[in-house]
Amino acid sequence: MRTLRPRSLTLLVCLLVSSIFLLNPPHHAWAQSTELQTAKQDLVQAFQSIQTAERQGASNTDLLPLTVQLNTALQYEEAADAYFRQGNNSASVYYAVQSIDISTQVSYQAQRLGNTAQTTTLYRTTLSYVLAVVVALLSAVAILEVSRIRGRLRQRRLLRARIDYGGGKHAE
Amino acid sequence: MSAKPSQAFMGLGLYSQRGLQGYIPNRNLTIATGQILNWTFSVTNRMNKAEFVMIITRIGSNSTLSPNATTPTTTLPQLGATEQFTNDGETSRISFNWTIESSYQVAGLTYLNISIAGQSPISSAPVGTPSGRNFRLIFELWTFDPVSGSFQYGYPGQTSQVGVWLQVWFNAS
Repeated sequence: MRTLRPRSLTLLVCLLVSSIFLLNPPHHAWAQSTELQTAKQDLVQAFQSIQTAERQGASNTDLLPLTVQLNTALQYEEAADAYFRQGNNSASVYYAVQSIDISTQVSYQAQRLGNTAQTTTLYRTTLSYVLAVVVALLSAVAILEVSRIRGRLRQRRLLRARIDYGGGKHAE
Repeated sequence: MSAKPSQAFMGLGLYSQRGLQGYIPNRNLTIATGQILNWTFSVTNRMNKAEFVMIITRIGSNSTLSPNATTPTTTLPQLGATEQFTNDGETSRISFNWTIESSYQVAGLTYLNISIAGQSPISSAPVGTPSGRNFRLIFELWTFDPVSGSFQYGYPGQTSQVGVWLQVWFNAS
């Protein structure tokens, strides 16, 4: 038993180490820096913000400049990645930060555009409903009161009409 | 009022200012070592939403498998990948500059070292051809799927992914 204990301990340690690797696979030879990872995540997030803004009704024309900006952010991220692979960490961080800045701005602007579009859509829908109700009410009133309106009109016409007694002919 | 019915799609094209140097499929395009080719991808987005696309460049030959409408050729060596965001209704143009840096022979087969956009050359191995003939560059279009957080081959169709790819045959001299 005593002789087995160190072996089982070794086995246990080996199993634990293996399980750590199973849970968190070892990083690739060029594990990315925090800034680079953030840059990649922010690019995707900004892209999703643009798609959300589209769903909320933002126009293509408004979103086009954001896509252009996002492509610039992508270029910076690619540059950061290339520098990181070359081992130039400071240049990599510099370009990653540039990318993050642009992506963040794009996300913010996309959200703003989306919210504006949503508010405008809501306003237009509400206005359409209100107008529809008003028109319906006016139509109902007009249909129900059409006979009365006609009577009034006839009455007015009668009141305005001149009464000819035929007096002129008798005088001659 | 309902929206006008339309079928969403993505398009991939490749051209150069000189029409791919007189390219005719499977014939005559001979590329010399060191010759720089300036080509351009055109990616058309009619998906009714912005897309994040990636074009993967692979090298194959007349004896290797081709991609199809559902499956990419992941077994072939990947020479490079380029990514781009495209707006709905937009046709993006992406530069694709490449060159054959060198070639070498092993067991009667010619292998190439290809460089894309001035980056370090990548070997075509295990793809090699007799006398450097009948190579082909294969371009696959992948789109980003926000749900899985990864790129998927082709674009999401009505029922399944629709694979998009094209190829350019060439001989190396």
